[in-house]
Amino acid sequence: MPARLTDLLLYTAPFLIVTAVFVFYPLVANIWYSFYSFSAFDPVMRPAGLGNYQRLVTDPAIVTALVNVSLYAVLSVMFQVGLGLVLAAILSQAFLGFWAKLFRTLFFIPVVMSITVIAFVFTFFYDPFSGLLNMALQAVGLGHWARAWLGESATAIYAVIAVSQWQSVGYVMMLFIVAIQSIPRDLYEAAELDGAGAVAQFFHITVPQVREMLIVATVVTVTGSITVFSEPYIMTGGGPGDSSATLATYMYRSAFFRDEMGYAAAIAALIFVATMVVSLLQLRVFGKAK
Amino acid sequence: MKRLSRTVSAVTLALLSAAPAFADVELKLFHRWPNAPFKPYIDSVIADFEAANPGITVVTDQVLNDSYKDKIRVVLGSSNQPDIFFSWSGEWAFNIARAGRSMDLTPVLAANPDWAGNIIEAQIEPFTMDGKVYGLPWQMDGKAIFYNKDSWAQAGITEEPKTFGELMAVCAKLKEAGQLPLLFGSKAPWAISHYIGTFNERIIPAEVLAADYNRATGEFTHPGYVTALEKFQELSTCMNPSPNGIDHETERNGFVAGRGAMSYLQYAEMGYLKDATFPFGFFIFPSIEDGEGQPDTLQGAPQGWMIAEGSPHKEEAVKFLQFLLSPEMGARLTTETGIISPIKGAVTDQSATPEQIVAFDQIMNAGDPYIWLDTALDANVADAYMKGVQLLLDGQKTPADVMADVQAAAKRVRDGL
Repeated sequence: MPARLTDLLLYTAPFLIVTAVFVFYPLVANIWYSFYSFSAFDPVMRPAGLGNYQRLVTDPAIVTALVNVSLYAVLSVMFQVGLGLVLAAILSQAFLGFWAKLFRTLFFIPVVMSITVIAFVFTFFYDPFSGLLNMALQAVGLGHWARAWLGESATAIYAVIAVSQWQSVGYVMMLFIVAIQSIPRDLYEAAELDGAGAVAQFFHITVPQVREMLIVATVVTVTGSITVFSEPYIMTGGGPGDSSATLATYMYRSAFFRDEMGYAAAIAALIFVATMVVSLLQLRVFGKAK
Repeated sequence: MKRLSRTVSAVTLALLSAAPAFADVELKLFHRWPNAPFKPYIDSVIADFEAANPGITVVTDQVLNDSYKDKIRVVLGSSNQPDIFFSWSGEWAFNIARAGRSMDLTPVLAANPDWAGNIIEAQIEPFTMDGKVYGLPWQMDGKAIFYNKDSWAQAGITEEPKTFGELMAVCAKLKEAGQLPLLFGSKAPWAISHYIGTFNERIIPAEVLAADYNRATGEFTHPGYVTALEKFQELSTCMNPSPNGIDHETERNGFVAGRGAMSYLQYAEMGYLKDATFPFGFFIFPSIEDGEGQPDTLQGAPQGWMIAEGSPHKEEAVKFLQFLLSPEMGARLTTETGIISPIKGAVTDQSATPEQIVAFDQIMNAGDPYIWLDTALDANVADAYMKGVQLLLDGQKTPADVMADVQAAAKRVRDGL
């Protein structure tokens, strides 16, 4: 037994060490930092007690950021998971042949592009003076809809969310295509013999059979929404004001613009807790359903 | 054995002969101009410096304005800090100095009086905290309203406005002539701070501003702050719709392309205006009727360089700054980049355009410069101001709401949270 225990420790040591150094230590250190007040370049750390957390619960920007990431999560589940599954089901139909391959490729292209490049391209797309979107609206007689999409509080977060959907729907679609391909064809053939149409087959065969992938895609999409950073940071910087801020952009601005590393650490702790709670909740809900 | 000892000797000799290469000094320079004409200028100065100083090489890293503000904070706290780095003046510089990250240059200036005497003294002041100089100016700057003379002529405007009321009259005439009077891009919030700083200077008594801009005493309770935002709101009726949707570069490019008749620009941006197909003029922001502040101050401040306190190559870094801030390089700076050099005798009719000479005179006659609001204030207070005004422009907040946020941020800073 001792020999087996030694082997066990030896084999798991690399994983344990790497996880301890790169996951658990930063987590613990972050919690520790959140009880101090300091800047990125000032070596002096002043104890802040619970001050950073007290501010966290009264900061209106945090409320805005939480609302925004919730919007991000709901819309991402609708468009990435929902639409991704529908697209996957359509593009898995054998009769589409070449067209299925073409559209799979087209939908997947944004996934392999750098999000930084995409965010910049869409910044030009939304430009109020010379952006393609406003020009297209004017061309079809909807000029009164033209606006500064990224420059108005009412539209900025939705404009940013739309870009994320455009970029990621292809990825989730491919996950579902892989899952759909592993569904036995007999099920569809039997359903056809029973007179089930395409929609009935989708809801009664495809959806239940890709349930595991549905769970994974939803968890990944929702947790990704809570930590989203690049798109809002590049396209709006969280503005106007904090109207399109997410938890991650607000944390970054606190840390590196306002020199409040302690407060940023408290926001990071909130992100960690939110991500963990949402993931556990989802797994529990899906687990119960199973 | 003999062969082995010969081999060891040869290897030792080879290592020793290579030693001078290891003794070479590599200076790391971090700045905020990855774009022309500034980067080519800095690179050419470095090439000249390296040629004149064998053994010293200068390696640069550069990112644009807003990214620079973020990145410099991170690298200064790391073990990979640059030896020399760009710095704004005022509170932005003092924040770094207070953390002990920038070298005290006072002894360097005292030890090199001939060289130090070349730098315009008033431009060193905004880098001075508690009697110690932490940075040296490289460019003089100020803000003025630039206007398209063709657009003005078309609208029948013949005189530059002396008061805010006259400026609004100019705006009305331009509107009547079917023109966009004033371009503004506030997507990058710092552009807001230049306007608000100017309105504050004109409306609020100087002693109140001095107390409020100090992070230890700032309260921002004077009613003039709300008035300043109301005046800014009034001016925003002359601007393009949704300024939050465009950045300052788009604003400037729009002015050069003739899309708007006026733009509030920095003198340092004159180099970009060479592509304009129209003659342009510029004037300092006019006085504001009933304002209790100063009617003719200039918003703007020098920007320059600091040496990292942790640099292992301070001597070489000082040598580089002496080269960069020499009269010859100062004249080249003005000619090649359009930036107005703070080196005495650098701005002459040989090195500068007539417009640059006018700008130079305006800066020199403005007395103490009023530092850009975003670098004059603590970052927390500046952030509350700029984000608040973005929402003011978007119709989401009132001037009173914005000032309530600023007051809360100022209190947090005073309390040391």
